[in-house]
Amino acid sequence: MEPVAIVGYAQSEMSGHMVSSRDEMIFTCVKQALDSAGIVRDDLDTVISCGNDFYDGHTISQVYTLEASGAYAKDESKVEQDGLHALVYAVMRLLAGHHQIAMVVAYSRASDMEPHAAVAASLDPVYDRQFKVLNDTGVAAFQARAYMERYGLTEDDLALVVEKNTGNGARNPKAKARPATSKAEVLASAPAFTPLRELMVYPNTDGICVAILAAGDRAESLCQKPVWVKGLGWNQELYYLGDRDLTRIASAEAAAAQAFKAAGIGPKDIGLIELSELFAHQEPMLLEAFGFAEPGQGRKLLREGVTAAGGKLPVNVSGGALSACALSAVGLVRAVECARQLRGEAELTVRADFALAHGQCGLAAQNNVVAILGREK
Amino acid sequence: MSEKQFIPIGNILPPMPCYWSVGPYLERFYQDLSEKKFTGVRCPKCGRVYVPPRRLCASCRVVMSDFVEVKGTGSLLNFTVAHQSVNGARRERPVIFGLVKLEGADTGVLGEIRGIAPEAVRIGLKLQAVFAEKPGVTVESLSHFAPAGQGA
Repeated sequence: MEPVAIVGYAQSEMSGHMVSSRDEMIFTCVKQALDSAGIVRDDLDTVISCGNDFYDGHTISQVYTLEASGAYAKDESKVEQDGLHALVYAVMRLLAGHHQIAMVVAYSRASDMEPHAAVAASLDPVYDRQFKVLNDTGVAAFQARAYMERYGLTEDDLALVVEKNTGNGARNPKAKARPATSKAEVLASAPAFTPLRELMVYPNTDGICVAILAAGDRAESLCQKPVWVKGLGWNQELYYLGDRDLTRIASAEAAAAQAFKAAGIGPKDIGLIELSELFAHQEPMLLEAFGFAEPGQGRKLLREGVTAAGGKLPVNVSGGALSACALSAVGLVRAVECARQLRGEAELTVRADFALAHGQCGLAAQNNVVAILGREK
Repeated sequence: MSEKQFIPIGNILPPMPCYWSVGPYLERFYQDLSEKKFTGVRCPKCGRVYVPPRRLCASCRVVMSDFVEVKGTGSLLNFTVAHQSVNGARRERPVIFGLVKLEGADTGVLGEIRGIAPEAVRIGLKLQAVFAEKPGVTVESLSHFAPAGQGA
């Protein structure tokens, strides 16, 4: 088996209200990604798209978008989870040896639908959903309360996550869904589902991210600075809310352990982290799950400046999901932001040999995926 | 915010009703709920009591068939005050929604909480179920939970 690398990518502006049509958004970004890899559509062997039928209002929705995705008359398939799951799928297809170049296309447009209602459709239909109260923010609120009560976190701890990430995002020309937001503004925002306030929840976002992957020698011949996929891990935990220990994210622990084992490295080797923290409390929880802090101690990394853009272990230098979060695309954006950093292309460059990108799906991060990326083959 | 460049066309579809046949375990739960009773099922291996009942124990993975009635009183495991509707729009009146561990059960059951100010709610609050005046075989048979001792 040959190693696989990211050899090209593009992302649209991630904003609250994109003016183009869906097809145009997809076509434009796919073309930019092909150009960035120096290839044309004919070079593609397989295309994996990531979207969601409920976000698209269309069953098997890629039948509608695959022509704009460059997948006409190509080997193609779709993932309904997160764009980083789609990247895992594309890597598997390359490792299987039948294809040499794969493209991952992940997008959604919150301004065309009601994202919280769409995600609420993943609630247990026969009991939990019957009350017509909870959505993804509501379930995340249970997780936030369980975690905050167990370890004594305050609203300030959550507001500081938003302040750091949106402050970083303000320097990222792509992350346009939420501007730099101070701790005081977060604390003054209206309650959503307590203890979460409106500005502790991901902003409704339109956007697309595309990545092109190639295996082994092909990656090196195509690209001066391929970014190698060193390890992948993914895991899923119990479905019923009452069954889960909401004070930790067990599936994220397992996903990271699998990715680190595959990469042959550990948390101490990571120089940069990009998280899909859809809700502010999930940033410290995920850092704990990945082994960067003891349980309940993740907030200290932020308070001590470790996770700041200029800190020892920068987290979400791009702005993270709290600055822009096009559902389905958000985890792939994290991998692309890591790749931009490792190639030295980002607005705010961090020195790192290895980076960790994270994606999630399901209610209260029920399913997590981790990719470890590196500059060396 | 800029306006959309192109006119938006609505997602016109005929109504698409969809039903879930709940199976024997949840059917029994909903039937008993309509008689103002909570039914759970006990795991023969670990002894955990699940409410609502289900066929397999989440940790032991064994089939459970020992149905037990649990009390309508319990304590609050976790809660949120919903200031938003399912689609994210603001609610006129907040709704307190919690996970309640009924006496005799080992899992939490979701339900609305009334009869207490949102800011007074704490984990561990003692609650009792209040049933609908005219219960049916739906989740609406459980009207809400109220602080214990207030009388239904």
